[in-house]
Order: sequence, then C-alpha cells, then structure tokens
Amino acid sequence: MVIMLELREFLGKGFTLIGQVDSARTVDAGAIVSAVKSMGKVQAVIVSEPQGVLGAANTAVVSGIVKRETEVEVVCQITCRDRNRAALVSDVLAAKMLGVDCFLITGGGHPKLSDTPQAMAVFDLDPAQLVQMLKHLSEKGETPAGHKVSGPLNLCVGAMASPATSPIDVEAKRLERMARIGLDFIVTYPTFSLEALRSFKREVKQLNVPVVVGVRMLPDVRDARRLNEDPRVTVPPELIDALERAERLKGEEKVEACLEANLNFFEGFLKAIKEEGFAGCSIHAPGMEHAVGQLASKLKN
Amino acid sequence: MIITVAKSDEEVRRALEPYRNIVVIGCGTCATICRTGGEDQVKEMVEKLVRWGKNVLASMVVESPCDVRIDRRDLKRIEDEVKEADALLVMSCGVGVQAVGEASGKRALAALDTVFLGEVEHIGCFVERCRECGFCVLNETEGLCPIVLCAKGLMNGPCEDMVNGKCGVVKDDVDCVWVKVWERMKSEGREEDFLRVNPPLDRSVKVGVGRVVW
Repeated sequence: MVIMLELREFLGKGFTLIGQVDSARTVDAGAIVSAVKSMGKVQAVIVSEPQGVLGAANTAVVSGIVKRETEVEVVCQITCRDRNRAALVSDVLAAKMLGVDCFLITGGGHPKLSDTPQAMAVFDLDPAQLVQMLKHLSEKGETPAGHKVSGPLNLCVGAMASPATSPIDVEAKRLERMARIGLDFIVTYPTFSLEALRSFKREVKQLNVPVVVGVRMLPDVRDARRLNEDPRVTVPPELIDALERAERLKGEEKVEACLEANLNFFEGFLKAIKEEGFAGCSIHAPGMEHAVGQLASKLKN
Repeated sequence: MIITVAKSDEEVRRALEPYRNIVVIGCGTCATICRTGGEDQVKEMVEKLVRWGKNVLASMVVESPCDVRIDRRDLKRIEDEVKEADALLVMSCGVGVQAVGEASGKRALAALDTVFLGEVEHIGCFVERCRECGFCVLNETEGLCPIVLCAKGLMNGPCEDMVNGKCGVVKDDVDCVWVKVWERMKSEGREEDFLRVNPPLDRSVKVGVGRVVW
C-alpha cells in the first residue's frame, strides 16, 4: 500500500517545517499559490481559513490547487462552523480527489465574532465528532451511517489546540478525547510564550501525538496589537518595540525593518522550540510569506 | 416555564390595524409569572386598545391558553363576544396564540414574543435552560445542557474560544459550560467520563411538527 502521507512520515523524523497560508475571499488562486511558492522549501503547507472571515474560498479546493501548482504536501484546514456532516464529507472527498490527504480539524470561531455575524453557526458536528467521522471514513471506507465510499482514503487527521489557554488541564483532556479516536498530529494556535508551550507539552506528552507549534509572524505593529487583544496571546514587548520603531520608517525601509524585527525574534524562538523536542512548527506570515523561507533557512544554519 | 416578552406597542398596533372589535386573552400560567400576560397586563392592554380607538368586547385570563380543552371551556364564558370579535389578541406564548385560534376559529394575534424555555430565578429574572433538542444529554453532562449553555452547542467541548474558563463568544463573563462539566467530573474522580465522545445529534428528530401521541 502506497501511503502518500508525507507529513505523517516527516513528523516522525526530526523537526518539520510547515508553512501556513490563508484562503481568502477571492477568485484569484494565483495569489495564494504565489504566496506558497515564495515560502521556499517547506515540507508541507497548511491551507487555513482566514480568521474572522466567513465565505473565503473553500479550503478543500484551494488545497487541491496549491498541491497541484506547488507539489508541496498540503494540510487542509476544515472547520465545523459552516457545514453540516454531509458537506464536511463532501469537502474531504473532493479534497482527496485533488490529491490532499491531510486534514487539520478545528471548530472554527463563532460567526458572531466574524465579519458576517448574522450567519448561522452550523456545528452539526464538533471537532471530536468530525475526527471520529474522518477516522471512520479512512479506516472503514464508509460514513458512520454505513454509506460506502469508493476508493482508498488513507486520511491523515490532525486537530488544533490552544497551548496558552487556561485551565490547561481541560484542553489536554479535550485533546486526549480526540487522541483516543486517533489523532495523527496536533497544531497549536500561535503563541509567543515558550513557558506556555513547555507546560502544554507536559500536559499532552502522554498522548504520544506529534505536536507542531503554530508560529505567527507579524507584518506590522497594528497586527501585533490586534493579536494582543486576545487574552491568550502576549506578543513580547521587545518585538512590539521593534515593530513600533519600524513603523516610523517609510516604504521599503519599513518593510525591511519589520522583517528584521520578526527574524530577530523568531530565530531564537524557533530554535528553542526545536530544542524542546516539538515535532515541528507551522509558520504563518500573512502578507509576508516570503519571510517563512528566510526564517526556515536561519533555523538550518 | 415558557418565557415571553411583550412586543412593542408599535408592532401590536400594526397587527391590529385591520381590526376594530377585539377580545383580549391573557395566560394564567407562564405569562402571568413573566408578567407579560397576567391580570394586570391584560388590564393595561385593554386600556391601551381603547386609547387606540379599538372596541374591546371582552377580556379574560385563561388558566392555560396552550391547552385547547381549557380554551374551549373558558371561552364559552364569553362566547357571544368571541363570535362578534374581528380578532383575539392573545397575551401568551406562541403555543397559546395558536391554540386559542384553533379553539375559537377566530384570527388570533400575538401580543408577545416567545423567547425560550427557562427557569425562574426570581420574578424579572428568567434564564434559558432547554432548547428541546429531543435528546436530553443532561445525564452525560453533569446536569448542564451544552446545547443551551455552549454558544456553539457543542456536544464535546470546550472549544477554542474558551478564555480562562469563560465563554469567549458570549463575552459576558459567562462560564464555559464544558469547563464546568470537567470540574464537576474531576471533583468526583470521574475524569474518564470526560473522554467519552458524545455522539452527534440526530437532526431528523426535529423535522416537521413534533407530535407525541399515545
């Protein structure tokens, strides 16, 4: 049996470098593909739904296009927010047809917190139920209702986790619940705190599921301040200061200074994550995807 | 308890626009407790209708307007007025409005909005507790209903919007129900129960008009 799940293999061997790109409310797949290409050499790329935006192009389709155009292993993020169980199966099968094997499950932020707050929050399934359904599909070749699906599936299924949430024990138990069903990997929401990651790792160590740390680069100081509004995220003051100094510059100089500020901080941060024994990192750099490759090359040096 | 709130005067007035001869019906059960359809509110409504130039033929508080048998019995007392009325303005939940319409054969108008099934903390404070999903999971969730208490209605929470044990969706200092479920299980040494995956709801149960017949 040929298993095309490169990610699962990568995650067992050393530190895996993953890029992350958001889908968008666009018909221009070229921009998303270019962003992925600009990342340089990453072992996989997560195609995610943009935070707070409803109605972005379907990640299953975008994942398929990215896979075809870049030949990078793609992880398709699927949320429970907008689709019932039938639509979720439909998307996964369509993505699989397009060569996508890996799925990253998340509940998805409530529409009330999005740019389309009037929309219905579907949540026909929750993440645990969706993981269960995908595992069932993958292992038995049928939906939980017993409807056969033709063709081998061999899905690789991961889930998102909040490493800096509190209480952390309940988050660990939530993950354990999914791990018992069969999680292939975990990707954390971005955090800038090594301390939070260490305690998270202690909590989930016994699950024996590879943990990929979500890293979020910051295109400018406004983005940093916006992220800081989330009580679970604390952007380090030295990074904010550096971005603030960059803000005083103009044009290319400003862009360069922002990039420099990010690289300076994240080089050390990523090296520390690697030393802590995490399975890898997923670097999300919205609007500055070329920085992913630059950061990755620093890690190799 | 079915919790109701009064519709605005403007909305009630607009609904009554085509009608002149009105009978006002209150509710002696839930709407009385909610102070939206008891004796006092019916009296105030009658006064209002008179000010609006309506001809109020009769008014009464029916013990349980949601029970068609009781409507038939009680409306007999004002049979002539009901017969003569253009419309009945019903100050009860939506069930009562429809049952009164069925019992009287008249156009029944709603004076209230039905907002939820809730418990009474005290008069003037009603809190939603049930969304009639058709599958009571309280036995599996420490007596806390996740359909109502979780903003996403998740059967296996918490979700990623939980912040410091609070619901990050509602953002009103509301505890995350799944953290409470976990804490209750943990305090009783039943951590293993939290790892059980509650199955998805069978949505087919709530299709069409619910009916219990025996």
